[in-house]
Amino acid sequence: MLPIFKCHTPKSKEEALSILTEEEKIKVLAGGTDLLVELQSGKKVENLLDITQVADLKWDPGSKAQIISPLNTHAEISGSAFIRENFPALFKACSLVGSPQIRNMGTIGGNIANASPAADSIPPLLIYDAELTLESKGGSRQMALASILEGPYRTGILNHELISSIYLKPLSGFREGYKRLTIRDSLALSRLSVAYAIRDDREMWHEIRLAIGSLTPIPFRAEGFERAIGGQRKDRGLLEGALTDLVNTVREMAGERPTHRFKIPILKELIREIFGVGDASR
Amino acid sequence: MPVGKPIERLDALEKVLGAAKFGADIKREGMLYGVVVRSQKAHARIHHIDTSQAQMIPGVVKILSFRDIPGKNRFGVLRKDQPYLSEGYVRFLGDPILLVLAESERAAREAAASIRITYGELEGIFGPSSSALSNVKIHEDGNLLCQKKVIRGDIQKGFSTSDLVVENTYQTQFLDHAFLECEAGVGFLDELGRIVIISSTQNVHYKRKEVATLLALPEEKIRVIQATTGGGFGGKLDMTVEGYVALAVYHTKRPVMIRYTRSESMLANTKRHPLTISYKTGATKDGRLTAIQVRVVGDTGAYASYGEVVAQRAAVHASGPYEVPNVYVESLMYYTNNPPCGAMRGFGIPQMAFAHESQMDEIARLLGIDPLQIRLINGLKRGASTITGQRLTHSVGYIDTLKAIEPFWRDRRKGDWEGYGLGSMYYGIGNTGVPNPSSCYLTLREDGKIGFHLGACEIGQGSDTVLLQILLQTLSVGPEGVELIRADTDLSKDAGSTSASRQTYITGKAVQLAGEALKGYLEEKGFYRGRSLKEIYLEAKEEGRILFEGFFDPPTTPLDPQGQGIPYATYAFATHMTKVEIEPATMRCRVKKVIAAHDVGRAVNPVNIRGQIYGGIAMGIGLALMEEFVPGKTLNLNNYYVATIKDMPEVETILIEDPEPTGPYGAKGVGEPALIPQAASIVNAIRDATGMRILKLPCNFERLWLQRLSGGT
Repeated sequence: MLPIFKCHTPKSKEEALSILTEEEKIKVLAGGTDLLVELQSGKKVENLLDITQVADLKWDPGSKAQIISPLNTHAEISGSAFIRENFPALFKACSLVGSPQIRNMGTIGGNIANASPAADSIPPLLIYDAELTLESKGGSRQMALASILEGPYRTGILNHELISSIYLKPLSGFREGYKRLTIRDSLALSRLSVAYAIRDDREMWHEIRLAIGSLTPIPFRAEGFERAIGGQRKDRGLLEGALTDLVNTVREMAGERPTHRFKIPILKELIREIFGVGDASR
Repeated sequence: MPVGKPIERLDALEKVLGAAKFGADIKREGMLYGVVVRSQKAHARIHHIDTSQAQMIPGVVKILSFRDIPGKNRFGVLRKDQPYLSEGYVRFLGDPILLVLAESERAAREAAASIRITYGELEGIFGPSSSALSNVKIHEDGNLLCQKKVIRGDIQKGFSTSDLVVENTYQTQFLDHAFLECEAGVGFLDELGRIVIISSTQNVHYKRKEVATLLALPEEKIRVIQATTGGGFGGKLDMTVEGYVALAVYHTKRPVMIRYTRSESMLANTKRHPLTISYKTGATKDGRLTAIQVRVVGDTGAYASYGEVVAQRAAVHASGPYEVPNVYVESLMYYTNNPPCGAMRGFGIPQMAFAHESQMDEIARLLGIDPLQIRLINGLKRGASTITGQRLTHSVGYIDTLKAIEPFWRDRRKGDWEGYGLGSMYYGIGNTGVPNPSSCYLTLREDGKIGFHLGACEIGQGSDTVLLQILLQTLSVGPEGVELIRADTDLSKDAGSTSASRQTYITGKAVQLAGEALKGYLEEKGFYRGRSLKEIYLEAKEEGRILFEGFFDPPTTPLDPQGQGIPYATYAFATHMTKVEIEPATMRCRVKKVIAAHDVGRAVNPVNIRGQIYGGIAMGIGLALMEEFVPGKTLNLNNYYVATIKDMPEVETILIEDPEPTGPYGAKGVGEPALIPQAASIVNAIRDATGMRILKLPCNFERLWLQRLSGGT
């Protein structure tokens, strides 16, 4: 049962930002696929800012090249030929979120602001060095996605700010992908996810990007791993060494967790598979 | 010929169009809403209840406690040990304490949430082994609910003549039915002042009886009608909302609705019994079973519900569909402070099949015999005896299910990380060794139609359609000549519950017999020579013969203390062959293909049977790979994974018709058999793919990985 609250439905960004400045206790609804579940299960809210009608926060993915709108739904992202061609890892991740109903409602901006450790869109956004424009009534600022993710369900987005656009840098000459571990194929939370981009040839890993979700309090770019093997000659020993360091990084970020018993060996297997030196022995 | 034809389901169109009225869709003028306040402790005495805040919430009409119950505050299908409202003591997390009634659902829920209860916590018991050893008594008579045995031959001799003995312990989990429609119902007073309840249920006559006892009213003062029901799987056999609705109407004289949210449903509803099955099998080197020794220990949770039935069925079906000369089975069921476990599709046999089918494959592997061959060697055939000493004389299609699978089995080609597995089962149709009759009647009516008064609940499985087909076949009339009046205690006789795969077989036979009685009369009156039913009705009325009844109670005998007897009149048989694929990096198992062969006696509606089989496979995938209810932790469907359409494999069904002479046109049942062998065939396929023998369900990627890390097999 939903609690009783005041619902604001602005039609423009200016209006939305004014309400955000005026109202103290307010939650933003961009798709509602997480928020409504919380409200249904007893979370109290005094004001709800429903931004789904704000036209200037919503445009077709690809119509302003490299900039996606915060109100783009997962379905729009995974239905866009532009995204499929230029940001295939994001395309794949968004196509796996929840179910068709969730993908039709849930938005990329909402996914970012909710900052779940298991958000499917965040690891791919990280490999494209996503940059957010955060607007408030007083002005706007540009922030790297990686820098505003502060903790599980916690971001550096201020109370009176909205994400007004998301800028992505396409990777050219890379092969990209997104893999995730779930108990079933749809309507399932990621228990581990990996977004990757690799520019390589038979001998060399020229440049790589790797971001990991659902393993640490916030999804993260595995920068140490990228540096360790990027620009290097392909070598199994090198990869294994980089994996050991990566696992240490994970343990530093997340501490010891019982789920690591199986998640860490799975992460290693997935990365070995992605980097072409898989070990499929039993 | 209506029997054997895949006619369209009677309920298909209205459900597809969203027009069907389920329990929660019913509206009555001036309706109150009820919410049950439940225990937040698993085992405790209630020290104090403070409803002062709730009483002040506008719209709150009444808050009822056990003191407001005029009759008996106990229900239960076999043993009446479960209170509707707690008498100061709670036995599980979710035990009902109070019933709040208000003008709106919101007010009722707010009031329920505002009630403060202080508890004195007691030591809780959360597993059968601690239940057996503990001094803490959950019920006065002790913690052991029951002990069932099946003893045959000489178990010592059996093992001493074995060339091979395989011993394993298998463990299964709590499951929630997760039916699409949560429990719901409304109640009101009719013009005669009787209490009418319309609810989502699998039985109406049983519920009328319980409500009468609760309110200390004669049964005639209660009418129970089934609303369109969105799934049951055994979870709507016990009292759900009916008692509370009735109590609320009794006190307020107003219409009342109670509908559970999903989290309430998961808290309140019975679960599938987790069983620990210690299984020892002996065999000769040519693959013949010589002995089985099985100990089943189950957790029935806080109340008995169907615990005894599950213990009994588990014992009787312990061998699987095989001839075993020497048998010692002991099946125990303990009370704990876990949620009550009740009926769920298969009554313990999906769990047992996981164990006996794993054993069969292990024996085959160790003896170097093909898994299909070992089943052919030991399989029940006509003239063979079950472990309860019942000689099977007819409708024993087990070997036919194996033969039907055989070409696919021989043709299987295995790639890397792929595997194939077999799972077989037999299943006694109807209740175990007790009378379980069904009645049905037909009326001739003024409007020239035949009234088809059916007490059987349609819960989405297709009984309305199948039973109508049987009637049309018997009477040689078209569907336009018949009006179905279903599951209303005023307008139908007791057909027993929709459970134990019994409606097609038992009620189907009652329908056929009622049809034959009417047909004889119609023949006599010239209907088949062209006289109209309107005309015949007038004559029948004169003669006082407008009602024609059918009654069937399958011939069974009770089991003796050694578990010997004829517990069922007939059995269904099935074999599933399953192909799985394992993702090597993650150990995620996906089911790719299932071939399901079922001996159904006679396929009354082949498409409907296929639908049942698809559903059974989906549920079997859940049982094997993903579903797990953890008391206190699983609060909603977000962390209770049932299979979705994306987890469904390609399915091929093969229907075998070895007719059952006592059944309607030879039919048996398929509702539970559809599920029973599926999980077993999946774990055997995983063994084939990975070399790992699974002993604990569900085997999700986490368990498979941990097993792989600990060295595999």
